[in-house]
Amino acid sequence: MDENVGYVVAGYAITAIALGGYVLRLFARAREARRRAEVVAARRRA
Amino acid sequence: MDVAARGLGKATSRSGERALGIAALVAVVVSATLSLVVAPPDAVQGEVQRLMYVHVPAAWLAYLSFFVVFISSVAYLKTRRSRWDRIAAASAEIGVLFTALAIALGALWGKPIWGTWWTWDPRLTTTAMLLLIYFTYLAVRRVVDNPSRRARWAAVIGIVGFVDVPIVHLSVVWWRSLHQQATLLRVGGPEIHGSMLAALLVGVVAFTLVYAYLMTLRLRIGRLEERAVREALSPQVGELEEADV
Amino acid sequence: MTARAEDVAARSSVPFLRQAMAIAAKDLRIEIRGRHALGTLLPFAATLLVSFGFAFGPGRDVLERTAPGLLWMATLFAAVMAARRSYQAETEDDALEGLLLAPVDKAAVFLGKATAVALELLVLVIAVLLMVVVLFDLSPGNPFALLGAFALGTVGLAAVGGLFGVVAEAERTREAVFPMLVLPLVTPVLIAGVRATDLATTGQAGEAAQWLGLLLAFDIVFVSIGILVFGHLMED
Repeated sequence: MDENVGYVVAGYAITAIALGGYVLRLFARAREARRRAEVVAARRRA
Repeated sequence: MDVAARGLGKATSRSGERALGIAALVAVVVSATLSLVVAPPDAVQGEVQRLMYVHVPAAWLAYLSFFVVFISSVAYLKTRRSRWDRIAAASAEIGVLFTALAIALGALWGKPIWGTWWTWDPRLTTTAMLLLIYFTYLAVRRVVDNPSRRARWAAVIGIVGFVDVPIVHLSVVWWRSLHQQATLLRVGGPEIHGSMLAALLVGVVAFTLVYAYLMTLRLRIGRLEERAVREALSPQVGELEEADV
Repeated sequence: MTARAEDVAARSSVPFLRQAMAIAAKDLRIEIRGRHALGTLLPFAATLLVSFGFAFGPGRDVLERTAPGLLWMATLFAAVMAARRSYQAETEDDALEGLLLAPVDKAAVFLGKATAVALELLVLVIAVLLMVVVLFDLSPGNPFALLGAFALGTVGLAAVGGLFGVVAEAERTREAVFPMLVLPLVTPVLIAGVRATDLATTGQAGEAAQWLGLLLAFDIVFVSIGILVFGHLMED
């Protein structure tokens, strides 16, 4: 049974990477979207 | 509908978002501890059974996400408020992630148990079909430029896809009943150990909190992106406040 | 929201089913004149069958056992092509706008087009069935169960194809989006159709009943949903 520990490790690692990676990607997209919105707003105000 | 809208508004404030994120993180840590340390290894499957504590919650969230897509698609077609379209799009994107994860974890669990990565297990197969259907949902959203058309078409796919899933599942179950196959979920002996049940439930709670947090993040992005597009196109001066939020 | 008044007027003046049948008749007339099903789909199906024979033959055993599956795969592909063609004909002359503005119930457009596609498919299927019986030594078995399976199956395929055919003609739709949309959704038709065909051609037609029931349920669900939501796909 112990030789299957690799599958468990792989599974939990994939979960962590997928969820964590997606969160980081969303953070980046949020920063980018806010930046773009501010640029547009600034251009309109000018 | 409006009470829900206001509630959503509160949850999506920045401090609310942060609190949700912290709660989700804590829940994940607790869940991982329970799943990997506290719960005993299965009598029959051994350590591999611990994959259940991530596979089952992921699958549950996959179906919950698409239920949300279904509900918000119906709401969009009824009210034409763009917030429902944003919710559908966000939930579909997150749902595809959870669905793919559930399938990958199912395969990882199945390989040592079944001997192969894939045996057309009814539950996994239906989940794979779900993935395909919502992949196409996202593809159609990418392909259609006109925002109103994109929202309407996506909503129709979201509704039809969700209604089809039980029929697909039934057909696959009947199809597979021709070849009896051991399911992954037959765990341990006649009694399931208390701590195993606790680990599973906490896992479900943790994943649900993660889903909620991802939704608030993704919705904020959706609002920002939509506002940027709208203000870029609009000739009006002055604040285009969230009239349809 | 635009054609609402016309919808109301239309609904009261010409009955819904007659509108649908008029649209089906128009599509079938175009089909008979253009001979898409016979001219394009049938040769395509024949090519598919022969290629399959090369790929999995020449041993008759394998071919005989996989004949129902191949039959339905060919039907599936033909359904996608027929549904796409049904809407291509509209966009070619901007007829889709005309259809949008016409005082016709949108759901009738769906029902009419789906009916036309179903009939085209049924004719095609019978021809392909004959080819398979010859090429792969498939015994026709119980013809009623067989025909029932294909009649119900083609209705289901036509319903899904007729519903989403509009999407195939969208702005930047790539080639694969429409098949990708249809194929997963019609999985129950594929599974039930193949099972029923297999049972019908191996002398177990009695057991085919549950699969035929599933096909019928699928048809009812998808025709109903199509009627309910099609309007939302056509607005603009």
